[in-house]
Amino acid sequence: MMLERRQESRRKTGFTAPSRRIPATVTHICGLALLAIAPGLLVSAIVEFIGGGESGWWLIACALIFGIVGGGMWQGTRLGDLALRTVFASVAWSWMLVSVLGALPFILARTFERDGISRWVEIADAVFESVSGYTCTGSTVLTTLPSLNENDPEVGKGILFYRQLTQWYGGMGFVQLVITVLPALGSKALGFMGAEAPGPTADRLAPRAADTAKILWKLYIGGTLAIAIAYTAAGMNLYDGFAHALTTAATGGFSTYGNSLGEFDSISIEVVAQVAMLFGGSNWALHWLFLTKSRRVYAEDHEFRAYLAIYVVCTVAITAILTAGNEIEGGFGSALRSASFNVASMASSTGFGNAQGAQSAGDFVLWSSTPLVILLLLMVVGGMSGSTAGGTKVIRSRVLAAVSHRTLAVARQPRAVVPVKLGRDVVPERVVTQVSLFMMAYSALVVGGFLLVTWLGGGTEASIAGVIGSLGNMGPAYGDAGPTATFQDAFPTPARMVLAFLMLVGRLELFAVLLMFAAPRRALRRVKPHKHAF
Amino acid sequence: MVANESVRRSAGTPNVLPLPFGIGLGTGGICVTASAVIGLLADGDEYSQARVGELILGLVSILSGFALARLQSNQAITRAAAMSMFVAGWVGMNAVAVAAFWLSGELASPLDAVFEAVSASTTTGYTTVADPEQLSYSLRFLRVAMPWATGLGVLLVSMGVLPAAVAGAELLPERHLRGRRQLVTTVREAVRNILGLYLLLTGALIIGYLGAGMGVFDGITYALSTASTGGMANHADSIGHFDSAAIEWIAAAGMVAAGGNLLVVWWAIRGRLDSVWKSTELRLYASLLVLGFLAVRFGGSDLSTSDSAVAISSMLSTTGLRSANWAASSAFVQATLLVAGGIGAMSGSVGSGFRQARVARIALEVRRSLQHLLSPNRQSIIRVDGVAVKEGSLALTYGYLWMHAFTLAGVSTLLYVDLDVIGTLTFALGLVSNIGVLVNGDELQSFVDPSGWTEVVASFGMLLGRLSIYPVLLTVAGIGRWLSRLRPHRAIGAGS
Repeated sequence: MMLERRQESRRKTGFTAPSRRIPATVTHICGLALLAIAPGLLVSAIVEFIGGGESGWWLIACALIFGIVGGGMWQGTRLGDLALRTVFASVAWSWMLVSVLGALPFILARTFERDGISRWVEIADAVFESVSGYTCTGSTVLTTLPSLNENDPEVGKGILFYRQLTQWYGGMGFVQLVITVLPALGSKALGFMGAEAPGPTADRLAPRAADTAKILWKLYIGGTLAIAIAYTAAGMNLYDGFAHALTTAATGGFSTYGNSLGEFDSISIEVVAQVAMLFGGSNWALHWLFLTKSRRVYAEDHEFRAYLAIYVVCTVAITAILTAGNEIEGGFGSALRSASFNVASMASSTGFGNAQGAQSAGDFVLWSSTPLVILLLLMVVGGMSGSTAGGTKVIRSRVLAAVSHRTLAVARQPRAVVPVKLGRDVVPERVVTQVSLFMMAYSALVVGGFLLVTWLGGGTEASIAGVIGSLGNMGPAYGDAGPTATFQDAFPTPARMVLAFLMLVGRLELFAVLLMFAAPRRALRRVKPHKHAF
Repeated sequence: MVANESVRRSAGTPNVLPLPFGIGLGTGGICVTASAVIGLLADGDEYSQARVGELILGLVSILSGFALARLQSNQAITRAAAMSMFVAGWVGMNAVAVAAFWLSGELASPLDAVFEAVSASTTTGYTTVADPEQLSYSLRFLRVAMPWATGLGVLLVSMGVLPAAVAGAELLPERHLRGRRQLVTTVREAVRNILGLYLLLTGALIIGYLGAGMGVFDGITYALSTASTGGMANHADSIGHFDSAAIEWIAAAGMVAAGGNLLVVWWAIRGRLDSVWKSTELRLYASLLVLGFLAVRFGGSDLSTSDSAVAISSMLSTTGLRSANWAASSAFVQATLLVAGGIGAMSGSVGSGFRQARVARIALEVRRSLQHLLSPNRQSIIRVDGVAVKEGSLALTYGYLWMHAFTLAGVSTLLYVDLDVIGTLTFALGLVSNIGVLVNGDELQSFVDPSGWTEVVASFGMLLGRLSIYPVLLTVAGIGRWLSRLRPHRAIGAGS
């Protein structure tokens, strides 16, 4: 009624009253992001009730909290400043807020309760798990994950389903989801997409950025459903099929079982997972173009070719080393199975494991050092740009290789003007500089993180792999944090908090998080009275 | 003009490589001859036959080198040619050393001889000999004489000869940013100054070690090893064998000096302390030394103060001398020392690694880019030592960073060793940064027992690290082009 009256008055007078909402872009985007999580919590509550768990009401309570707080933040504010630093800060703060508040269901359901730990450690564990989920990392501190035939699991199915959903939300990015319902962003939406998108640039599939976001989300939902059907056809039940499809499409790597996909001990499931992980780790824009335009897009894309070549070469190398060194039981077949699965898992930054338990064939921490070094390098490289995968991305490694080649050419002929080329395409100098800066900041974070985590009590081997894995959103690390273990024993609580922060930094590709404090600081500075005002 | 050029080209040899190859051969010959003489004096009769063989080898190498060095070249020294000359000199010196190591009969295989020679001549310090005390005096001396000669060669070529003689050499990675003319005006003056400083450091270390209680042979050999940042030791426990705080402090001071920029040392000697203080790289080096020392001493290790000083100075200067087993310390101490080893010494020093100057530039660039993100309209330039750095020079630094990273990744992957991940990574870091120590479980060691394949990969990795990657890759590319030119060309129209 009131709205109609206001519209009527606007028609008559041609005057639009100024909005009473506070112009606060960061709060507005954060509110919408929280609101987007609420339906997922409701679905999880339903799964919890069906599965006979005890945490259904807590999930509903969390859905209400997310809805009310998110709705309030959204409705109470409007879009204000849309400068680049504000865009970066909005994306970073929304991720921070959702990741931290996302721990609420775990805290209320006492998922991480165990003997001999304080309530604060329990909360820290919940936050770690939530951040690991939303950033699609897949590192876990949950030691009470069930086995396949367990009748009375300690953690309810709904809570586990929510844990899977966190990765699904994080895979495509909830800011991307927010963009689809915020037409007011206009051309600035591409800035938001770029701040959240993995890779040096955001692909544009439609003239409007909001349409691009919609296309990607539709594709994401379709891909998830297809993977769920494939899992179910390969032998999983409906719940497991959907739960694992959520984290496969997102290249997250959370599983509902302690032994991850190794729990099923099924080659067909592992083959489906491998294909799906590689699919998730490749550029989703390519999938769209394949469906709508050309069947040759994969073959023509140089990054995709490099991505597949890395997978094949690393699989062959590790299989050869495992077979030649007689490192695992079962000979060539077993070596190929373990090598191909773990390479796909690391190259796509998913982090699923196929070990049926500690000391089994897929437990890669038992392998010799060369395969582990290869897997560590895969953690650094990661998947393709525009994918749900983490790591520094294949395209950046290719650019850096081209930059190295150019440096060599310039060293030989100092006056030569040598462009950086990928295939036949010349890479603009602006992109070359951005990639170089990104990699320099990444290297600095690896070194700094390594020093900090070891200082806080992490072991040398676990820390280097843990830091690289967290920045690359991988999941398992080495040492005591291998694929059949959790991060609980390998790292003390403060070190785990540092790793959680690195996960966020890695998911948002460094600069957004580094700039997240810049916008509020500037806003505060503007509020302060000017020194010479009077 | 054209006629003159054709006349000039027709005289002398067609390329410049015989000259540096000859110098390398001669230098190797001098090292081998000196070792053989020491062996004849100190080793027993059982080694005399081998020593005579080495003496003949050394003398023949000196004569051959002298003959080759007299060949005049008519080719202009371009940057690519200068880099190839650098490699050719190194190959010449190693050829003699490999032959000497193999002729001694004290190493297990020819590949072990290659590995030992390359490790010595690249100032790395890895060894295939489990107990160096079992080696003859001659071989022990050769293991430290080679890195000392390489150290001197690196300084002379990168700080003296190339900047003075080759146009465009200011972009070479070894050169410092400014103040070149104060140290180098002519090649002769450069050689004199650099040789003087290097001999001064070595002499001071010999006196220090002897005064601290080492024997004459040990004092001389450890001084050569310290001044060159080679890290080769006469004992399995390195300088930890002496269990003397005085020796450890002298070693630490020597390694810090050896890892410092010769130009800064020159300024300090000349009393130009304002220039010393302005050096961005020196400030970074000093800060890292102090912070590293504090981290090692108080970061969860039971190392003594002198052991901590040796550990950080050894890693930062990429020497690799050991006085205590820091691999048994906390993970933080290990991480600190490994990061220090990765960063490496100052440019313009005999040390290796990624170099402080490059780290300083990169840190300043990251800071600038963050400032740019906050204020997109802000324009700023990077200043090192108070002087603006050219953007082209910065681009070369980034390019080198990625080449260094790719080299480290490639060497780590290709090594096939019976070590855990940290062991393999520290081995690779020790190769590319020419440190010469690795962490094997709870043990810190320079001894390695690699397969033939690993010895080849490791030797190439050490060479890439020592010569700052560019010269080796450009020489390999040059050889490839030369081989392709040898292929018979198909006559035009022959295919149709």
